[in-house]
Amino acid sequence: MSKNDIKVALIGNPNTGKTSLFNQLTGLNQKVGNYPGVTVDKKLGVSKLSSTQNAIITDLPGTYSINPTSIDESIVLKTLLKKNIKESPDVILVVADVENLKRNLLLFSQIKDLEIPTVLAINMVDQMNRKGITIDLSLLKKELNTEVVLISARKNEGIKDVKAAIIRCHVAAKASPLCGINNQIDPDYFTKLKEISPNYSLYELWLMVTQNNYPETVTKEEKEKLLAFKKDVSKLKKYQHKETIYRYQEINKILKKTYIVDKSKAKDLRGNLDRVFTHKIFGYVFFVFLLLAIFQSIFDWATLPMDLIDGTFAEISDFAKSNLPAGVLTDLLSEGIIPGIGGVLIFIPQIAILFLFIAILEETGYMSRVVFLMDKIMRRFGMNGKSVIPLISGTACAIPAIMATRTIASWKERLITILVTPFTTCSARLPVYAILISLIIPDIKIFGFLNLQGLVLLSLYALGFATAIIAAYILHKTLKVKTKSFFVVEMPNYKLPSVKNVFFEVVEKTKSFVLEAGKIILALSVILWFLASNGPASFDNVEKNTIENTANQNFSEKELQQRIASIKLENSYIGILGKTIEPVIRPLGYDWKIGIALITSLAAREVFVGTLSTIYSVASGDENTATIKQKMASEINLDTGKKRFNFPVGMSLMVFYAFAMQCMATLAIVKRETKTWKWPLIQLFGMGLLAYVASFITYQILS
Amino acid sequence: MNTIASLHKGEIGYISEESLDFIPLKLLEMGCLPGAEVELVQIAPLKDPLYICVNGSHLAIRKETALQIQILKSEILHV
Amino acid sequence: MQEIIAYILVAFAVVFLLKKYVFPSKKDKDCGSGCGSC
Repeated sequence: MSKNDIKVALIGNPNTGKTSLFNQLTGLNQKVGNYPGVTVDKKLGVSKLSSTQNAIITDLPGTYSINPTSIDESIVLKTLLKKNIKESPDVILVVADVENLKRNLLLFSQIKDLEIPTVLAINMVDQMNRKGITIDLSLLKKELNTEVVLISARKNEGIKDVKAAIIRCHVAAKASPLCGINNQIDPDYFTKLKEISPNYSLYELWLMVTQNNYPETVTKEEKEKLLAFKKDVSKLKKYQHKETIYRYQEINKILKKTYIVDKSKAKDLRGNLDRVFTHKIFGYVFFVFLLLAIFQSIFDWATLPMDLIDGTFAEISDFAKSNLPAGVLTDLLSEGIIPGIGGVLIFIPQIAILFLFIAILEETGYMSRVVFLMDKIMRRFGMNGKSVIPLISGTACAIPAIMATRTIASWKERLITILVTPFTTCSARLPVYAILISLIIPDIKIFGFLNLQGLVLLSLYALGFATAIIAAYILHKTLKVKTKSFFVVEMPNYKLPSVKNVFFEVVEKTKSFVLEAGKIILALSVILWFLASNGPASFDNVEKNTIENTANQNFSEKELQQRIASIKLENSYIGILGKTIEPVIRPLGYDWKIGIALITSLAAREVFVGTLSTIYSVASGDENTATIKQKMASEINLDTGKKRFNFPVGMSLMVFYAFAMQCMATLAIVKRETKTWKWPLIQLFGMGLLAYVASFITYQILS
Repeated sequence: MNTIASLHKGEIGYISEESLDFIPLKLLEMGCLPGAEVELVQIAPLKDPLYICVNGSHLAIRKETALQIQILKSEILHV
Repeated sequence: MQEIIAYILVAFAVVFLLKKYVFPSKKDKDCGSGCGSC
């Protein structure tokens, strides 16, 4: 990056292939950051425009107009209004799609009126013939008074021309408005408005009035003068309406001369496909099948890489333990840090595969149809058609799912979606379910072909989903949150997914999970390690005492070490914590050992299995479930003299894990997305209470 | 009073001038202008949302919004 | 020596979590709790 680099802002309607263009221009030189104060991703990339000139391209969120209706869109407004002078763009690159050129030009006309140097890239021109469209490019350039380039980002055509146009535009450094504000709307008002300051175009001043947003350079006096123009709100609305109509009139005039559609040539793939995908019966059938196929694939494809990662990290941990000098730091590494990192990475296969499917569905345009099909149903539960995506994503991990709620404009609908998504059965719950089911559910087939264990697993999934829906309904009826629900979803053309785009999207989403959740899980693992490896006075003598007490029991060296580890854990701070909460969890059928595992699950739910293996003296690295299962199966409940992990306890535990908000990383993300501690704490205590009561009832009824 | 919500599947209407005040700005910006041609492409099961094609844009809008936008069944000739 | 490094790391983890979530930096100027559509 250097001072010489041209700052380019990439703007356009959604579904215009803006992302494709961004990827073509920047390749792998892109990164995702954050806008201060808002939960919107800032996508930046470096593009080589020529051998001597680079550009820093910011991919702004897609929008239909400068007037924002969501936080995403407000970023576009703020950037264009030069809220931050240092970062404001030198050149704007507007992307339009050839089929919807008329609508795309509305945003274009608004941007031109801001008098910033602008280049227009008309994308998807490879479709022009198919749609019977012809464009008089030279006349269009003249009429729009702008550099116009015809491109096909997907086919990598016209990209060089775009780069050249950006350079030319930057060098020329002049820009004149396109439509301006039609004085006829209210000559008196607008003439007076323009008089406030010669430093800003009339349109800029108008935006300052209607949007309550100001450039960094605006003075206090100017702001005060503007106040007078804002008084009559209904007048402002009316003028905005008239302004929009005026813009379209001008656009129509220009397009009439330069843009021709021969409808007889156009082939309507969209119509034909939509007849199937939005069909009142088949539309849903197809969607359900699709979901099942996705879930099945995730299970099938993810298992191998997950086992691989699991095994690798176990080996690394052992390697560290045996080869590094013995001591506390080595212990921290092999018992805290390495398993902590492994615990995060092991979910990458599932998350990546799920996001692969979602990215493909979005690229093809099918997602909008899903939103269309599901909106009414979702609304009954206080959510939005767009909530489907987070709810589905939640079956991999709630964290990227919650981040995906940013596309929901209505705050109440978004909040409810965020609050209930953690109820869906995430991947981390699976190891817990798996081991408990294999312990307490017989491996038999009912009706001759249905695997009972599989059935129980399926019902746990159903339980999670049902609880999410019911909780949403309750929240819908009880939450008094101000909300402006407005729903407009574009139904884009169907198209084949671009491999490049899908790839980048999956990498981005996976990266965000690893970094966001990963940091927290790692930090918690370190802290938990500390609490498990240290304790008050009794802790220090464990090793000595154990050796003494078991001297006559002839343990092998390995068994002795395992025994010591187990007793150490019992006497550590966590152990004490577990014993402290034991009275509270005993009605649920748990003892302090399970209590410890519940506490360590705060870092990540699947740590449950590893913790139990330590408690039951299974050697670390030997997380062979057969061994853990044996140990768990033989644990005796000292009060009853019978098995600890019997049917009621197992069911109670699974119910607890289904409902409890244990994953601290999720809480942190909720806090970030809702910008307050109020909601994550409500989630923590609400879900905790539900988990406690439900497990209690389960245990008491079944035993 | 005919509104977008009263269109049948495949039927075409033209947005009336009187609706101007009731059309949300965002819809207006997406091309839903007085005089524009609007076709009902598909209705979701449960009658909501409505998938329409207005002025070349394919959109889904909720029924409550559609009910606010009046249409005429025959074209308004614009100068 | 090992112990010192190990416990520094642990302290770092604690500080990291506290800093990020209990005392966030004052960059959140725009929206209070709950930002609806602008």
